Amino acid sequence: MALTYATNEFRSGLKVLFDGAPCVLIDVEFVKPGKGQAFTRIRYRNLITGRVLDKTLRSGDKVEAADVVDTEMEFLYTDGTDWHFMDPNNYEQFAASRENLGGAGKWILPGMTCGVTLYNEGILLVHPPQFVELKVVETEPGIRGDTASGGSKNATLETGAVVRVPLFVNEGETLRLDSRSGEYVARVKS
Amino acid sequence: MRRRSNPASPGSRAVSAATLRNLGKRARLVGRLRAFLTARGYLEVETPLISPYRVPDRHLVSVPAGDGFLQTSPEFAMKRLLAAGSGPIFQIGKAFRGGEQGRRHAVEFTIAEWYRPGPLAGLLREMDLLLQDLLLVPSAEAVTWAGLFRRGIGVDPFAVSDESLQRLAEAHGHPGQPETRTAALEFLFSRLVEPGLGAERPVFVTHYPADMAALARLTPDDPRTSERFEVFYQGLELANGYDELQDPEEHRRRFAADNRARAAAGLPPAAPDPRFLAALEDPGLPRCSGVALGVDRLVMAAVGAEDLDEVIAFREDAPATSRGR
Repeated sequence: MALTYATNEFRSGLKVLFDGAPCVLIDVEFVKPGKGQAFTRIRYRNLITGRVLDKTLRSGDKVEAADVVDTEMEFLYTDGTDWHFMDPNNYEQFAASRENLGGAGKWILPGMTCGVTLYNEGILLVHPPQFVELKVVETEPGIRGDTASGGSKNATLETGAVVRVPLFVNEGETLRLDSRSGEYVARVKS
Repeated sequence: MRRRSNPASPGSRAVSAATLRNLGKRARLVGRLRAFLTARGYLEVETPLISPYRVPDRHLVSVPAGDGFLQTSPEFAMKRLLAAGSGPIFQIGKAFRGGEQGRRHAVEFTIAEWYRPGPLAGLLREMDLLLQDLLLVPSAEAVTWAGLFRRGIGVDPFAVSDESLQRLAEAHGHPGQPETRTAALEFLFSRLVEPGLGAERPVFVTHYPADMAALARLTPDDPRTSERFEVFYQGLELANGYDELQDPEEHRRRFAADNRARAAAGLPPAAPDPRFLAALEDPGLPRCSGVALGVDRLVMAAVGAEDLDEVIAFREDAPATSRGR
């Protein structure tokens, strides 16, 4: 028998299966009109599509648990098709496809520790660290002393990602970037 | 108000999530409620929390206690006092409803319930004054349940066909097929009408359909509706009241209907309290109107809270499996 959760065990963060897809509950509310029947209204995110949806269940209904685990792994290397990660606790290796990787590929370098969502013991999602430090491999020459004009230009990072950076940034410099917004944060002194 | 994103694990707190400021406000509100009713000639009473009988209502779960059950409201015991000639009475105490846990529900909650002789109009006027006094709100607006349904859903609740009603319920997210026509109506009303009720001032929703009458008498000139009302303020259901049913035979019929619905849903039968039925026969319940007010929700409305945690001391201590959140 698969593990199930009844609606009275629902809480935000719980991972369950809806229509065969792993989902995470975002918000749970018990509703009971006047003297009528009780319902549990939820908002959840489909972990595969990322879409956020609402759903109403009868209170007492049971839903199958999704075998979803959030953990951390070290990024080892990419062979161009798959990205390979290692669980630092038991050295077990996992491969993620480009699809599983989402946008994470542009922010990670071998050796970095990433958040990983496992589903049925395979990688479902990869979450890069929120702040990453990456080297600029290509950009127009910096304008000396211009730290205040607010202008920006494109820079290509060692991972291949292209980001907007201030005019004073030079090739070979290491930058601190926010992987969630994709924005430049600061230069890192080497 | 703030909303906690991560509920603390049970048992991890020495201090309640409810602030002392809110608990102070709560104490003052209960004090003013008691003073309001006492000044109008109501006698404060206490009745047993534990009864040998569970409540017949299909949608209420009686919590077991010893050989009996914790009360879901003090209704039956208070009506026995009324039958005995008590005159106007009120009670402020705890009631328990199994499985009801959420931001606006608690298995263990505080109920204020009062009854006065005479038809509903007098009780409604008094409720209006009470809310103005406690919540500092303008006078309430009274609207019929069917009128709100027509305006909110766009169909006549009495005329709409079963098929259209079912399609509407499913289109608005009812899980599976509604058990009954009444279940579909209730679902649509709670989904589309209730959240917007009472944004500016309290709303008295009157004339609930006869199938939702509970223990209210039917409207004399329109038996499709009943003399039941509810109070809503800022989308929050605060109170539920009736022009009380007196006829013992009609009580028996409604309890029998409750038990048929319980059986259909696979719930244990709930024999009505025979002492209550006996009191209805002799000396009989006098013509009276009564209402139950959720005290915790009243405090929520007064302080602008979004979660009962903010107004009930140590609510987070409730057993984890019944927290439902």
